Amino acid sequence: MLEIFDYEFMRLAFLGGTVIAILAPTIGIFLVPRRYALIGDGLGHIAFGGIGLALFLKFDPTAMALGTSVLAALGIERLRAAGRLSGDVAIALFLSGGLALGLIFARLARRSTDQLWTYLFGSILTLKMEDILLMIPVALLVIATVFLLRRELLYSTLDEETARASGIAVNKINLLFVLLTAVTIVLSMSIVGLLLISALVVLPVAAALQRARSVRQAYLLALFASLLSVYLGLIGAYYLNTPPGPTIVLSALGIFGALSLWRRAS
Amino acid sequence: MCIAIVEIENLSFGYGAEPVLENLSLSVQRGALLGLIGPNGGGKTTLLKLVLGLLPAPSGRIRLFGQPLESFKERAKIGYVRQRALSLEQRFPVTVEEMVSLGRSPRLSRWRPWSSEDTRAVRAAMRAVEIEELRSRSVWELSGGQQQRVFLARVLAQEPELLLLDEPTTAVDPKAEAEFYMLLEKLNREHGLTVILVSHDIETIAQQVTKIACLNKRLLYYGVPEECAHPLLEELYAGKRVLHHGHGWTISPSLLLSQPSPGLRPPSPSQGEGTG
Repeated sequence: MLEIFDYEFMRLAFLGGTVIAILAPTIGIFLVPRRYALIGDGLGHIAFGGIGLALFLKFDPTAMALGTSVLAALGIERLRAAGRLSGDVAIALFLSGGLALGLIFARLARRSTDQLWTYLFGSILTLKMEDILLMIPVALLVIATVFLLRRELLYSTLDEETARASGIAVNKINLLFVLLTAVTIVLSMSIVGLLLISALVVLPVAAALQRARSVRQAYLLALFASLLSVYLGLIGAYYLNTPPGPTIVLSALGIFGALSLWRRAS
Repeated sequence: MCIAIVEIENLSFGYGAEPVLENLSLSVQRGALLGLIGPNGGGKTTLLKLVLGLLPAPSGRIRLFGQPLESFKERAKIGYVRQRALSLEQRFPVTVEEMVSLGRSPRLSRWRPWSSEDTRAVRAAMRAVEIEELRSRSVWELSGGQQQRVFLARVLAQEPELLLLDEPTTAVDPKAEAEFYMLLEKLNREHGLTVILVSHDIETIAQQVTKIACLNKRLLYYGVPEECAHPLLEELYAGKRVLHHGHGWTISPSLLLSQPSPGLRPPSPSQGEGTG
């Protein structure tokens, strides 16, 4: 079984996967009760638009993906805060627009679909050490920020009006949170790909909510479910020769299903 | 002793062209337990939200603790319990203690992390509303009355000096409702908390409050509940039957619910369950 770690690319995949498996539910635990489960998809598609543009303009795809999804995150939050659109409609607008732009720019840049494929479905097996060295400090920064803001985030998630009345800067907190979400999405892109990102952000949290009885428990369970999904997915992909991104997602779904059944049985 | 905590002068406010509050002046002294009553749509909730700074600035003046609303920064001094603080679509596991702890957020800062003082405040708040034994239960497992106590404890953990409650016992059974109001009276009496309590129904709060303000766009009456005159209440409730009740006047809730007059928004069915 341990021969899986004989390969450098598998060791890097496990390392990168661990970083993202910790990061994704840290954001997801607040996204799910905010009914923002699909924002990951929305921002992921926007990032895809950014990648198409980067290929066309010959810029760095990751930087451009980050830039466009951060801008979209700000746009979504603005529309939602102004009460002009409900969160899910705002996300749907960006979702279709981003994908369309990405495909058009990629065609204009005359790129092969193979290259787009890696962004859409992830390329965890091609991670390089320098990718991970960049990933770790950014992930730590996001996790530390969420940790410092956890009370305000939870308060404004559960009861925005009361949090606002008690003097919490709810607008700033919400804005900062969507920015952190955008960063998380772009970082997770390399693991499961843009089309499957929501799975990593939402599924472990949804699984944890089947059993958890407190916020702390929900977070710890979600972390556990997330790490387990990534590890099972990578091992499964290695032995079954399946694509790793989708295998990770199916593992997460399996864990969700198991916890749901356990909840019913008990 | 007679320090005004809330001073409102010539306040007018409307949503678009529709006026909700007209030329309202009111001052609330430290230690008061004020019942704010009036028909639905009479501007009670709007008044609370204006005082809380949740709505755009109105015309007129609001002063809190002697400072103009616009420059008032000590928000933690004001606690707010709103109607149905737990929305049903958000089934997220939160224990009673976690929920009450959130009340400390306005007292914390990046540079003042959680300390034993905060734990003490959370325990004291749970003790004050007698929910200590529920602390590790999920908020979702509790009855409506217990949930309201949790939200009261959450706001008490904030250690406010002024408490604003917007129909806090909507969807709570009558027994729990009476207990909740007795608890409020105790907090007012023993802890010196100034309380403004919004209710659509004078009957449930007349025994506890020290003062009554009757509001229907304009301030129709402000004084002790016993002297809240009969004709005034009739005007307020647009001709509904008003009964003398020993400690004041009562408008028959069943009539209030069954005969909404034109221009008044009828109460929602769930509001009637506890009072009808």
